Amino acid sequence: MIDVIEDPVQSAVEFFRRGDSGLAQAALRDECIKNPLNALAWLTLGQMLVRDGKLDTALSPLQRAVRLTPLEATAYWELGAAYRIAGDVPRAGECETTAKVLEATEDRSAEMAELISRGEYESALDLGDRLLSANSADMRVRFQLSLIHQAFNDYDPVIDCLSPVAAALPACAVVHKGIADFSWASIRLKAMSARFAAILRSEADRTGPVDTGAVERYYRAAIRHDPDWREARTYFANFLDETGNRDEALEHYRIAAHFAPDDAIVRLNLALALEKQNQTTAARREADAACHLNPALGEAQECLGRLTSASDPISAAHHFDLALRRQRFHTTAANL
Amino acid sequence: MSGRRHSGGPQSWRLVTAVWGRRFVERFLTSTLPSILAPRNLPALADGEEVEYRIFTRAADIPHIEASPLFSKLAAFVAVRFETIDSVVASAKYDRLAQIHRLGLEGTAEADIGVVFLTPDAVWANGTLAAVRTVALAGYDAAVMDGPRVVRGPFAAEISSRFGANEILSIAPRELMEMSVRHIHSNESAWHWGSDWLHDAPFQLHWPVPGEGMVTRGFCLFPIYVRLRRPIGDFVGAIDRGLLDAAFDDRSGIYYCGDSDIMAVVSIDDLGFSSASIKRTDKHDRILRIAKWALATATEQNLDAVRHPARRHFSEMSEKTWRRVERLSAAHIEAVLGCREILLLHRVLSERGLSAAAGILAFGLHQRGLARRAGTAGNRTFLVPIDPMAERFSFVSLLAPDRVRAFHTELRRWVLPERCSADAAIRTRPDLRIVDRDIPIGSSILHVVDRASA
Repeated sequence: MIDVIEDPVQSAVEFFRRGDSGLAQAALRDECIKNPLNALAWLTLGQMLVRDGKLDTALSPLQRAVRLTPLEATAYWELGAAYRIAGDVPRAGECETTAKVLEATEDRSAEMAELISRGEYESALDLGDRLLSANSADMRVRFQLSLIHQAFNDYDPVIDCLSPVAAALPACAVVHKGIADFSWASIRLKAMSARFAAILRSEADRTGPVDTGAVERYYRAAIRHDPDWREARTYFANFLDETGNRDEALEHYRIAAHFAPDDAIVRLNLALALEKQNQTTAARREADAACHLNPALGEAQECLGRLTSASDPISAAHHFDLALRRQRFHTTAANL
Repeated sequence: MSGRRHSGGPQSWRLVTAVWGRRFVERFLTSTLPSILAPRNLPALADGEEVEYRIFTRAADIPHIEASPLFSKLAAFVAVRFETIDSVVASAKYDRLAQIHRLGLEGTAEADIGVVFLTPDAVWANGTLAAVRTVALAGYDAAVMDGPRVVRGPFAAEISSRFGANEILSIAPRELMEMSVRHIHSNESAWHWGSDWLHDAPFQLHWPVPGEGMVTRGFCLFPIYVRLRRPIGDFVGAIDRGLLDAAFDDRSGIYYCGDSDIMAVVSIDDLGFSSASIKRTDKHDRILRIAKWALATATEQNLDAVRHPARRHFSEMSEKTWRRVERLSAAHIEAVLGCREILLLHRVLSERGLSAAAGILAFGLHQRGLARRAGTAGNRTFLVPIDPMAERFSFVSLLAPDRVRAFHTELRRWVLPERCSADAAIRTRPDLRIVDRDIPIGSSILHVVDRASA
């Protein structure tokens, strides 16, 4: 007896060739739900939707394919073509530029990626430095180097590695979000240190207002090229919330929750944002959803407890009780 | 210096460092090694003493260490022995480190060897190891200390600009503390009591003394010196957490360094180290979160340690001010420990199915400021009603927003300020009868009660 393992993408392509586009798309959607990391399934689904003229629904799977393979040209070409058909010339151009740069260089970063996946960061760093000295325009190597510095918690080199990548690959949302995340973290950490040092020295905190314009631009570039990406929306919303733009933050939290209704953290973030805006009823609905999705999420139980404490203290006590039983903190730091 | 001690110092000494990987070897060669070679560090410790330095590292890293010009200077003072760790595997980085530290302690109890742990990514102030020797000669079992964390890039740049390559780093304690302020790591800010941020692992806390330094209290302090009286087996976590609990039944022989003029160190880390663990906080949330962490993580020795303030200062100290800040820090820590005991009570109530009382406590901790009003931990008696009584009783109505004061007044009636037997407790509350008795809550006690008439 022979086991036959059917490749769902191949099967869908067969359906499409036979003229059954509906069945092909249904098979691909099914595969995308079952295996959301299958970039080829998302790409093929997007291609089929474009060919069926369903541009409004084609962009999202193509963007997902790009997100899963951010350093491969194929998905950028397809996404660029879709934008061009849709009349979005600027984004089409950025996708095409990105695809051309990636096609122009051979992918020599696989060995680095392998070393990184094994945690051999220093060997990967040595290899990356050698590869970069041979070809400083190799954006994949720069990207891999940024991952190594990220593992070392060394944020400024992460930004240094990614900045030229963002310039060369303007449609690469992952890179734009990476620069924004690490720049924002770096700004905040340095500000915290400066404030504490000023207290210790008994001096006025001379840290002036920080220019966060670049951070905002990178976040906007990330969501411009991948508007459905819940992490990018959430991180951008966190940034907006911290910088005092709560209304727009709420909007992005809402969009993230729209794209990820089953993600407890995303729903909790929305609940917290609504709570800050005193939209208690809506906040309670979101916190309740977060608690149902993940009853072990202590922060969600605390949030729901706060939101119900005035109207239903017994229920609030129950949620606070659950929150205390969920221990959030497990680690202690040591010197190495 | 007081406490239970050995007579005199150890027969010999063993220095232990675990270091592997190019980055950490580089840090070891540019920070730890040049600073321990300062005149009042290793040369003072080793003077007339038998000292061995065990460096636990990978075979591949040994040539890099040996190639350093400072290595030959080190070898002039102590016998260096490399121990390869290639076969030491662990699921997590700190597990591997703890395993290596256990290896570093092997055989030391039997031969009365005093062990000095030296982290590879630190700068030790000149005089720190001389002070370790003084403490050891005074007969202490262990010496614990810690120092602030600095950001590697700018700190290393200042070291490079002031000292030549392979030059010995002889830095006085106050100078080192001043440097630490210039390059202070954000984690230190998140351990500062007045901060809007709190680290998820608040294993140390700071209270600034503006213009002079800070008072620090740590649950997990670094045991720079350990002299075992008996071999030990496993211990919880890293050496700064569980080693001293495992090593000493009587902890009175532990020396807590209270002044950076005596022992001082800075740890070096990258900007983003552990930054994902820094979260927003406020005065209501801070005590509860620290207490939660302490309940989940702190050992008995850690709970002792946090009661010992340490002064980290870069100038002369205004004694009156420092004492005031120490008193303030003591009050904050007592609040944390009081809250921790309430959390322990909550845990026991939950385990015993006393969910109504557990819910009331949880509500009080989150919504009624009970975390800040939890009182002093230890030697208290808690009377807790069984569920039907708690549900019938006025407590539930006390959860209403307009009854905050009444909530606390009522709660106080159920806590006796001393540890009482069930019979003694019931004499103060004749309206109650004992259902379950003598349940330990740390050094306090719990009796479960119902109405006397029930």
